[in-house]
Amino acid sequence: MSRDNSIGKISVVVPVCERVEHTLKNYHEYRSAVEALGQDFEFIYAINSQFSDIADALRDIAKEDNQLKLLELSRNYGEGTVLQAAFDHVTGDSTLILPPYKQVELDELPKMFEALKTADVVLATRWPRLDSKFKQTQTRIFSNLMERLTNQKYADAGCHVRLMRTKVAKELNLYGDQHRFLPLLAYELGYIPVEIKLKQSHENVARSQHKPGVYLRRMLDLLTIVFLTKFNKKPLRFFGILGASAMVIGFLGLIYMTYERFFLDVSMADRPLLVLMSLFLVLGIQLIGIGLIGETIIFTHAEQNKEYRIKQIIN
Amino acid sequence: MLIDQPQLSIVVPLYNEEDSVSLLYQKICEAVDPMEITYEILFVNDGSQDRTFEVASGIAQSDPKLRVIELRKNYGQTPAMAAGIDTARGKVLATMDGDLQNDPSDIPMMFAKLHEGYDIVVGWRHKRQDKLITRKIPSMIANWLIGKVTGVPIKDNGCSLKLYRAELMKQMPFYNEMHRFIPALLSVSGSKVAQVKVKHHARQFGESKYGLSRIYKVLLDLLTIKTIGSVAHHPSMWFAKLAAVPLILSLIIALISIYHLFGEDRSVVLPTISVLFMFTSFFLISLGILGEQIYKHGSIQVSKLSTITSRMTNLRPIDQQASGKEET
Repeated sequence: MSRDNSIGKISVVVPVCERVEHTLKNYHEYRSAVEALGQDFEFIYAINSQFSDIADALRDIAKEDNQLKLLELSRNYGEGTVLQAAFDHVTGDSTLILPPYKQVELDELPKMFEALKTADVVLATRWPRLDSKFKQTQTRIFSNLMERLTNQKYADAGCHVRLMRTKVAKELNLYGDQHRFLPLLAYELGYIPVEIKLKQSHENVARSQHKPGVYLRRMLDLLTIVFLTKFNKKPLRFFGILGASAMVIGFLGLIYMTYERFFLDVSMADRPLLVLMSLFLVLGIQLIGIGLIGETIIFTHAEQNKEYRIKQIIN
Repeated sequence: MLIDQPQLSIVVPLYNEEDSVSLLYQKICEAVDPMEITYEILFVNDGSQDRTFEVASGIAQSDPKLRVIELRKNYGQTPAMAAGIDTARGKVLATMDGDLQNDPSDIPMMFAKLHEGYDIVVGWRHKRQDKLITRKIPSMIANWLIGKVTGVPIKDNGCSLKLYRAELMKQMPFYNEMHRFIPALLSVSGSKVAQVKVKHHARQFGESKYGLSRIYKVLLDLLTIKTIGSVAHHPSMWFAKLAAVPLILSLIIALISIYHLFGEDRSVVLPTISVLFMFTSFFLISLGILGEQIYKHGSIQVSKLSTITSRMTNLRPIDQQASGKEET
C-alpha cells in the first residue's frame, strides 16, 4: 500500500461555534478559494443551536448550492464534539477544517494540499504574525507548556486550519474542547502531523482579548489531554505517584513526631499536626485505591482499547 | 476455525534490527523446519527508523510463511507483541525477542513440552548474558517479588521466549508491560505453567534498549496484578483486606482516646484521627464493591478462562452452551 498521492474530493468542515460574525461573507471566499483548487468538493457547516440565524441564512444559500451541506445541532456543544459530528458526514478523500473566521490568507491554501501529498495530517501555522506581541507571546507560552507536558511541540495550537486524510478524521474521537489538541490525538493514533507556515489573515488581527476564564479552561483541557495520552493505559502510574508522595509526607511527619515524643518529650496526642499528617496518609491510600480501580477498568476493557495501530500486513 | 490454521506462530517484535533480521529469519527456519509442522513467522516492525521493514518485507516476498506487520509508529515491545499475537493464526503462539539474545533452537523442545499438557511454557535464561548491576540484579528482585505477591514462583518473568496455547493467549489483555505478568495471571485462571531452561546469548548487534528505571513501574504493575488476580478469586476481598488496616488503626486510636477521657488532657485530635481512619476503611470497602461491579461488566474476566483450561469429558465448552440457550 503506497501512499496515495492524489488529493481527491475535498470536504471542508466549518464548525460554527465562536466568532461567527463573518461566517456568511467568509463562505463565499472559502468557496471560491477551494473551487480554484480544481477538485471535487463539498462544504459541511456544523452549526451550534445558538446561531440559528446563521443556519437560516445558510439554508437559503444551500437551496441553490448543492455543495453546501448543513448540520444543525440541537443544542450547543464544544467545538470538538461539533467537529466529530461533522466528520461522520464527510464523503471526501481529504478533510479540511476551516474556522468560520479567517485565520490565514486563502491564496496560501494550495501549499497545504501540496504538503498532504507526503503526509496524513497538515497543520497550518500562522506566520508571519500580524497581531500584537502579546498574542504571539501567548501562543508561544502555550506551545512551550504543551511541549513540557507532552514532549511534542506544535508552534501554533491556536490556528485551527487543519487538513487531513478523511480516514484520520473518522478515526479521531474528539469531544468537548479537544479540537485544540487534534495534533496530539492524531499522533496518538500513529499519524505524524506536519506543520507549514501560512500568512496570517488581516481579518484575524483585530480581536478582543480572552476572558481570564478561558485560560483556566484551556489549562484543564491540557491536563486532561496529558492524562489521556500519557497515562491512558496506566492510571496507577499517575495516581500511584500522587498517592505515594502524599503517603511519604504523612509517614515522614509521623516519624518526626514520634521522635519528638520519645526523645524531646513533646506530647503527641493533642497536636493538630497529627491530624494533618494522618490526612496526608489517608489521601495517599485513597488515591492509590482510585488508581487500582482505574487499572481494573483498563484491564477488563483492554479488548476494546488496543494500544497499537497497524499500518499494513504483508502476506 | 480456519482449515489452514498453522500449528505454530512465532511472533517477533523488531525495533531497529536491520542487522539481525535476516540472520534471525534463517535461525528460526533452521530450528523449526526439522519439526515438520506447519508454521508461520510474524515479524512486527515497531516503527523502526532504519531499514528493518525493507529487509523483512524483502524476505517475505520469497517466503509466504513470513508475515510482516508494520505499525504506524514506535509503540514499544508489549504493544508490538500484542499486534503480532492478535494477527497470528497458529494454534500455538511463540514469542521471542528480535535481538538474537533468545535462541530459536529452543523452540522445538518447548513445543514438545507444551504438548505434554501445559498451557504455557516459559523460558528461563539460567545463564543470562547481561550486565549484572543494571540488568540481572533488578530482574532478580523483580522476579522474587512477583513470585511472592502472585504466589507463582517463576524464575524468569522477563524472558520473552515463551510458548502459549493460542486460544488462551488471545483472551488475555496484553498492554503496558503486562507481558512479564502473563504467566502469573494465567496461572490464576488455572493454567498449567512449565519452565524450561533456554539458551541466552550476549547482544551481537546494537544497543540494549531497556534500562534500570523499570523497578518502580514493576512495583506499581505488581499492585495492579495483585488487585486483578484477587478480584478474580474472591471479589472485593482484596480491598476488604486493605480496609482492615485503617480500621484496626482507628480502633486502637479510639481505645487510646477513651483512655484519655479519664485523664486530664482531653483533646479532639485523637478522636478525629480515629474517625478519619474509619472513614478511609469505608471508602476502601466501597472501592472494592465498585471494582467488583467493573469486573463483572468488563469483557475480560480471568476467571472465565478456566473454561479453556479445564479438562472436559462429554461436556460442551460453556460458551457454546450459552449460545445454544439463545437459540431455543
